[in-house]
Amino acid sequence: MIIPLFVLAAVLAFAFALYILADIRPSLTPLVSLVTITDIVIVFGMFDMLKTGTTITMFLAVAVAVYAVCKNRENIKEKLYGFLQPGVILFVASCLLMLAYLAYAQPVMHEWDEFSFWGISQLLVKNHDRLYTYFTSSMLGQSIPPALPVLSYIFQWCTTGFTEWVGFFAYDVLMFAGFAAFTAAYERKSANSAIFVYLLAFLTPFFFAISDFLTYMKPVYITAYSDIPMAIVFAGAVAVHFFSEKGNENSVLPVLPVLMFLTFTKDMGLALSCIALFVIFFDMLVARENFVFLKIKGFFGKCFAAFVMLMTIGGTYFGWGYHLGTVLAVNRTDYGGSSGMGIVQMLLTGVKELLIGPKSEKFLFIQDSFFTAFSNAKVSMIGSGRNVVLLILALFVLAFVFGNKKGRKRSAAMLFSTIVGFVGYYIFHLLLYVYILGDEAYNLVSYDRYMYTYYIPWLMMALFCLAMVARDGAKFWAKGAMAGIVCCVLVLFNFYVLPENIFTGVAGNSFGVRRDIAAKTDHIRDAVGEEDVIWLYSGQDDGMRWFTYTFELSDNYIIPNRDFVSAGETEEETKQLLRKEMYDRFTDYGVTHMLMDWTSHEFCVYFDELCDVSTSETGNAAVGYYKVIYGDDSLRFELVKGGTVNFD
Amino acid sequence: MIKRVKNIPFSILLLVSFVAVALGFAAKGCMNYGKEISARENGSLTTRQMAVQDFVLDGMREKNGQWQTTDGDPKMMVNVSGMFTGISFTADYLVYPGDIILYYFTQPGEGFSPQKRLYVSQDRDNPQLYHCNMPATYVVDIRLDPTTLAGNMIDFDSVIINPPHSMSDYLAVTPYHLMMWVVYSLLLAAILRFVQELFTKSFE
Repeated sequence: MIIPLFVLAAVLAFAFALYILADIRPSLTPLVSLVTITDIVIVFGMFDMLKTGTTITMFLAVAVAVYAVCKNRENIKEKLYGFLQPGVILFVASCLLMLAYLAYAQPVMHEWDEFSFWGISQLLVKNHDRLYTYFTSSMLGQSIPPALPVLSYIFQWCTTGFTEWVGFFAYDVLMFAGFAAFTAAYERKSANSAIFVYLLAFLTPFFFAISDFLTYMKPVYITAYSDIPMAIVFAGAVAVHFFSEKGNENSVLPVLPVLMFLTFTKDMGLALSCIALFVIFFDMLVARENFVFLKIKGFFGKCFAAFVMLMTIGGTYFGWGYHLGTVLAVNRTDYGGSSGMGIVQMLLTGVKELLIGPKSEKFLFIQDSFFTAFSNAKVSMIGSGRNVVLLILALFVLAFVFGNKKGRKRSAAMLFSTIVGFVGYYIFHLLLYVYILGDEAYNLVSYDRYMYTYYIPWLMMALFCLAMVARDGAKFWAKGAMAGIVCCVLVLFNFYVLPENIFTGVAGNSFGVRRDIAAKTDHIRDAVGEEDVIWLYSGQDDGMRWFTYTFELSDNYIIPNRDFVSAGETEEETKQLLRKEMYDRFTDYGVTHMLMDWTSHEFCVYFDELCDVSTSETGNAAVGYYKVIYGDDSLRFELVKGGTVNFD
Repeated sequence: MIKRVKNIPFSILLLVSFVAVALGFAAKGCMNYGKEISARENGSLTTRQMAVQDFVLDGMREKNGQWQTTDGDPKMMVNVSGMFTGISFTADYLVYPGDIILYYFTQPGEGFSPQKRLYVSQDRDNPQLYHCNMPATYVVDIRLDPTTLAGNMIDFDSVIINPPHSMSDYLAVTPYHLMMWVVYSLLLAAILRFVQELFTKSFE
């Protein structure tokens, strides 16, 4: 708990320095500080100096802060007083509360993609002290950019071993820093407006992350999934520009590290970065008078600023691509997927087929369900995407009606650019479903998750306009509207949310599968050698248990069990064929051990005779770890360690 | 008087809000406790024990004196018609149960609703004791999902309906309460400040 606290302090110290030295608005500094530190560490990591790099970066961050304080020794009190704006105070308070809570409840990861990539990458980066491009493992998705795993790493870079909740904490600090940036319109005298904005930002992820409320806990704020943090950083990038007072370097340069971080988050981060750039550029065109960027004035200055942002995004994207090319020898732009297309080819073919045709059967089917999903699929507490868009439009209308002249201009510009962004985002996802995803595309898998990645920041951007108006326009009405919206969201929140199915409920028993597997691996861990290649058998598995094992035994290769297909005329013949098939597979992968997680009737009938201890004695609540003995065309299994696992 | 109200600093408003919301939560707990006491007195709420066999079972079967789940969504349904405040049972699970959920139905033949649901939690002191708790409500049927894993073995023979609750059960503070305490208090303080601004007619 001490190390994350120390890192948080370093982030704040650097934020303070940014405020003093670069004159960035105080509430924007936590976000800029955190993403700048992470960006630098990522670059170190790409040169395989992750641990040293983090130490150097932390040292530098603190050193800059000390320098800034020394330089302003005389008026440091006023500076500190000026720094403690409502956004900063809310940020610090919520981080400390969250840290205390997470240290007490110690939640663990338990969702699918946490084990396929987002969680296990954090674990591997921490255990190896290197980026995951530098070593091999059972993890999928080595080419995904590393911002979030590195962020998690920074918060525990000098601890022994990986702690899952520290990873959650790192994400939360990032999101809270984003929320603080959203309140940047306000100084201390308008603390109540800042509270409205901050509360609304805090509740918004719950407002959208609803699809699993039926049974399982929806772990907002305790998840390794990237979607919501990425959405917040996207809105944060726009906020850093939008709330900067003057139209000069100050409203452009702080945006760069945020865009860099966003592009480093995930492949989709590139698309969001481009949309953010578009929104910012439009705002510059409309709202910035007397704009000067690096001594270039007016329109050309704005274009130059946009160009610099574009270069940052492109540099980040191609920099990571170059890194992959040199270290892994893979081509990043090749999305592959079901049709094996590159991303540019996908966009060209897709747009052509969408506008002109001819469309394949898959295209027509998905296009149809994708467009009806907009008004049918429930993605939020108020229902479909159409309702969400209406709500967002209503916020923009409020901002427009109550705004002063400048506020109206900015709201209209923001509305226009975000609608264009949304259309692009929506069509891009249609093409992803058609060309990249396989059969799962037909039922629009993860539709809500992909969509709220845009709805959350879009709602926040509408809120920026309203927040600006509550400061400069018809204050009473705009402020009243914000208060009303927070109250309405809270009413919905109370209706939908049970105490146990959000992050506060983890002290209960939501983590059944995870804890079951943790108990089993702990039982056999001392019998597992470093070089073991393990074939996992788990009778009821849909892939989740395999993923969880790859997480628990992350130093070993875990080979998933695929269904055996051989069938003979008689049962005896089938048995021989299946055993042959198993033998071939095992030799292919070089399997040395078998892990029996959950036996099945089929396994008992066909393979049990090969084991010296029956799997029915080591199945279900027990665990069995067998050594594979290779004979001529045959296999035998010798129990190394096994037994019943008690979970109390 | 109005002048004084106008001059209260924001820090005092915050303090007042945090105290007020805490008192509000406590008052609500006391009221719910009172509801349970009065329902017990007028006889509409009674504690009783039900054998597992009394439930309509789905997805589980008896095996060697224990209950084995045969699919991942086992259900135990029973009619309780009356005031209802929760259940408790003592059980020994072979493997982790996962979420144990109790659905309740306030109308006959009603479909299940995610809002009419309780999470059954493990007791902190006695890990074999499971219980859930809600303010007294008229309930027709309940449905208990004792585990989310197929092939789990559960050693239990009865379930207590409406176990007696103490005052402290209703006043227990969970992380959820703390979070909502902060959220409501901040909101209340912000709204009070807004009202204050209405008086002074100067919005910041």
